[in-house]
Amino acid sequence: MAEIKKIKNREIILKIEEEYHVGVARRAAAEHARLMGFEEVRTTLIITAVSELARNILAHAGKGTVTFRGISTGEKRGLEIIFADRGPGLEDTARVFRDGYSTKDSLGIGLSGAKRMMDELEIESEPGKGTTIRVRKWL
Amino acid sequence: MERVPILKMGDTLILTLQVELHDEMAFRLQEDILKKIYETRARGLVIDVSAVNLVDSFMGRMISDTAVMARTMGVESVLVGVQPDIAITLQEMGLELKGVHTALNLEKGLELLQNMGEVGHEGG
Repeated sequence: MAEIKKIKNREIILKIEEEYHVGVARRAAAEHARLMGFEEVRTTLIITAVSELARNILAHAGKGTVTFRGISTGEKRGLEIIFADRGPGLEDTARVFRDGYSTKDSLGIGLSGAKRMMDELEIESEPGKGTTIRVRKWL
Repeated sequence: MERVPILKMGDTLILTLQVELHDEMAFRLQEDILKKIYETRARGLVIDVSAVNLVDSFMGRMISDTAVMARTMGVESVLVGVQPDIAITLQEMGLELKGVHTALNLEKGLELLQNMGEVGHEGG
């Protein structure tokens, strides 16, 4: 796969520390998706995935950040969103993709649902250090 | 804190979701609806989501839970106004809304409740 480059001046970082920050992240997602040219259905998919993953940060780590950036491989452009926290992390990242897997009752669709809504989802996590989830959707 | 208005039309309560629901607001709304069902002796509940731009798993579960609670009180709920992109998103998420009937819009939702009422209350 081609190298993924950041598109200049297309990056914002938002903190997720309070519940209303989830709403702020959703609105930022909507704005980024529309600005980049995603049509309605895929914009809704992106906003919903952001809502789920930002909520996960609050539920599992208490706080963290969401970064939005425009990306390009030269051939295609897309939106990359990174959810980072310094929470408890995960022992087994493969397990979280199973539908119905949940460590907290507040969790609904989990990462498998978020992955279906986006084109790509990568997770890096270390127990005690935190979790970084990277999702991408291509135009 | 802002509240979501619950309208009454005949025997039916109509809840139009417009604002973004915070957790606390959602829980209070749930309680408000159930109290209102009890007070007004409503026979049906319509939840209209035509004005919202997303239904995430939190909102979906809130809608579903409310419908199940209302059913426990003897009241059926109908979800109306689900836009195409939200229907697609719910399916992609794998989120099933249990306990709630669905209809295309408010008019069809009221019709559905009326028909159910006729079935449940013969001659009434």
